[in-house]
Amino acid sequence: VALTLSKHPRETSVPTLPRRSDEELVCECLKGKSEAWSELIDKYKNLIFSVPLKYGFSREEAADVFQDVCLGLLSELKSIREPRALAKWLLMVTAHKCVRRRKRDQRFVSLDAETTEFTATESLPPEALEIIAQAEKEQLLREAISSLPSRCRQLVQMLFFDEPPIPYREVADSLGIATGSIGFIRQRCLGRLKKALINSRA
Amino acid sequence: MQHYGLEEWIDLSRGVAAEGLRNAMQEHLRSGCDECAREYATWATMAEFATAESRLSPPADLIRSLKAAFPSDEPVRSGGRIREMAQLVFDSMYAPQMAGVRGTQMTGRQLLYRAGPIVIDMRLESDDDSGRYSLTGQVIGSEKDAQGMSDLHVHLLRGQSELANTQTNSFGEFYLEYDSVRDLQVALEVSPVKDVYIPLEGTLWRPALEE
Repeated sequence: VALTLSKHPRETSVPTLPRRSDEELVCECLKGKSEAWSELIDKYKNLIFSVPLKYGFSREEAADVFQDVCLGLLSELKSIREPRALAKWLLMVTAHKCVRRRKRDQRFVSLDAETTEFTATESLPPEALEIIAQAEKEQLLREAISSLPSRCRQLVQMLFFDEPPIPYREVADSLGIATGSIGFIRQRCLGRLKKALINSRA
Repeated sequence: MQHYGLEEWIDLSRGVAAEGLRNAMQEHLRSGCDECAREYATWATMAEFATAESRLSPPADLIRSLKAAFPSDEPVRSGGRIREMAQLVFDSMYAPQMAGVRGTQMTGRQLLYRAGPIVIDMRLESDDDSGRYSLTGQVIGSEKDAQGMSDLHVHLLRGQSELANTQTNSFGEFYLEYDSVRDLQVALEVSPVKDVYIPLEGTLWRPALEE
């Protein structure tokens, strides 16, 4: 099947996350490999940035929180005991920073705030926990889309990310897929994507 | 009852189903077909995710600057000098209000960094008249003796380009000015073999810009 590039402008790209595990990336960072650090940022940038936005902060405020969390990660890399739980750690740290910032904005800061254990869930309000759960599901979806073969990602890009939206028939024509056929792309791509979507909504 | 295919639900979720088909599909959903409702909800979730994803990406310059904050395995400047990234330990923007104080006018932003025993106190400000941004700092050898580190070379960098440089005075103080705040870094030559780097991402200057 001959692939042609999308003729439509892309405002957003389908997520493309690094394939290396968090353990590998953290380990490489500790060896001083800057590419691993860049990959970590790319992997989690939307996850981290989404939390303050969902919390109601402006993009500028969210950028402050994002920067804080990333620099915190950089300084804490050596002490991360469970790199497999990095996504959860980042979410907890980000949520705690948002809660603290909100309190500061409301001119009320608990004297205990400085000693808050940033990875504890108990001190987070229900709103923050909901945001964390939602952000976690979105990250799973990002990872699922990113793990699709490149042809599938191209299909997903054209079907869902290209603007203006294009009907399925046009996308199928431009990719050389027969509409309604139960072929490789339809079966493998959309089937896998659907499974990930169902998991993300569970 | 006529059901619809995945392709049609995807088109409906993206708002590109033809009008007649769209009406018929919506009518079908209203008739209570659970299977199709699930199919539609699945693809609507994907469409919403894709739309939201464009807003969830942080500013590109911030990403660049955070990637550059990693102490590189390859020295940026010649000579094979050791690079150490200073860690932010205090930011006046996050300092709690004093009890009973309703609000204060922030003038500039004060940041305290640490790199090993070295403490760097910096203040970022903007000057409305000249349109320039200033950075006033003091480098202290260790918290205990509170002695300023004199005669250190201080460089203001963007990537590998040097924009300005100065030296600390006898109190370890330095002052730099520049007309843009994008992707800046400060490099301090703290020893003959070691530099301390401080990334100054654009958002750090916000309170200074709002004065």
